[in-house]
Amino acid sequence: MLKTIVIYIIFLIFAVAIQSNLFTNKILNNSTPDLFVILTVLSALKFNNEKSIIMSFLIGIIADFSTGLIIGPQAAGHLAACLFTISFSKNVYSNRLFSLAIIISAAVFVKEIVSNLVANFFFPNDIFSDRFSFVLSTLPYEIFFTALIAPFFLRILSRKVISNN
Amino acid sequence: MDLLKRNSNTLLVVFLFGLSLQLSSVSIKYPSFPKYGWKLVSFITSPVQELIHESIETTTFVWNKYIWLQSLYEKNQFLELENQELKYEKNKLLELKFENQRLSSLLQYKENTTNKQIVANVIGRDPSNWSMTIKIDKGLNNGILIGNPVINGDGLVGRVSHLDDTHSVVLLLTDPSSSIGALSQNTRTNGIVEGTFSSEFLRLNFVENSLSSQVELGERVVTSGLDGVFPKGILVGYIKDIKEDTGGLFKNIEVTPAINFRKIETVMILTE
Repeated sequence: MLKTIVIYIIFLIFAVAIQSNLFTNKILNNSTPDLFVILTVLSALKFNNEKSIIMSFLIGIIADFSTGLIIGPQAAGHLAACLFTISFSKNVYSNRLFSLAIIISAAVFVKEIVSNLVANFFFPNDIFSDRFSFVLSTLPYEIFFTALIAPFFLRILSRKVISNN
Repeated sequence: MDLLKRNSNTLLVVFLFGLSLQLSSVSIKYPSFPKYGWKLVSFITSPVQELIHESIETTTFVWNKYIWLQSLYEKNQFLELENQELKYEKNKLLELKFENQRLSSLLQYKENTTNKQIVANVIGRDPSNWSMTIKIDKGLNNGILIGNPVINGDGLVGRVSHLDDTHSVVLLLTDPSSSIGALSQNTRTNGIVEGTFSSEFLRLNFVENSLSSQVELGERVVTSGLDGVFPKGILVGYIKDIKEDTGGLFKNIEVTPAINFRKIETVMILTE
């Protein structure tokens, strides 16, 4: 379990660095793939219990910390994405590429909608409406690019996680 | 007890969801609270960010230097930097020219340009796209403080939002929480420029819907200096669209930013 946590932490560090540097300015419409959601989906698929719920919450907290603006909305969003993945993966063959892409796409959508709805309680209305318009305009690209790269990261990470469990 | 065990996952989810709402509330009430978390994450991830940034820069450098003409690349780099400095000086001089035309026979205008400029590289952006910010490789140790204006040769970039000893986060002009006191350079109409999350346009707010408050399409918009944060005369953008709001007090004015926010690589921080 400890090695799994270490692998997750290393991936999180690289996720923050890659998402803030490598993917920016290179992708259409100012959107970036969400590597944090990939990690949340992996923990939901592999553990499928209270461990995955706590891990997804912590991943969301780290995502909030990396922004430095407000803590909580992304934690709620990742929590929702984890719950969605746990319930949805019971009905599909989650080891198939196409199924993984669908799960990831839906998880990104759920996470963005929930985190923005939570933030709505705490941001002024005019900032929130700008933000929601921005999210809706970038969400399709974010979903597409995340689903595109997710199988690659999930295969590598899931091998590391399984071999250490 | 059995009920608790059977519903432990549900209770855990409800507890964590409530915790996230409570943390959000605390973050709004105590804005420094999220900054501590950012400092911790930045301390751990900054070396990796800088490594990735250096790798990209090195790859680009090798490609340009050894694959293409070597001397042309060096000359281009020198001219780019000189061009940035000259653009900034030109914008300042234009504002001086307008000021002098108005005050030429009555006042002795003394320009206050005692700001020190610190050059910094952009090493990353907000990884979650939650806010329009960039991360630069200079911090407290370089004399930077929260609220310092950030510019480049083309115009205003934003201001320092939070920082640690070695890195700073700059809130860009495109973020809706960014508000700049501005005025149109020709018609001298005052307003507030706010971001819209879009890199393509900003909003110039609080320009009255009256004949006395006129702006022109294509007119330059500069900082007014009235907010006490940004020095006067820094180029913000150009008037893109003007809509008269027949029922309202103010006009709806869009401003094209002077700089390309998607391609900022080097910035200058103005300190006292």
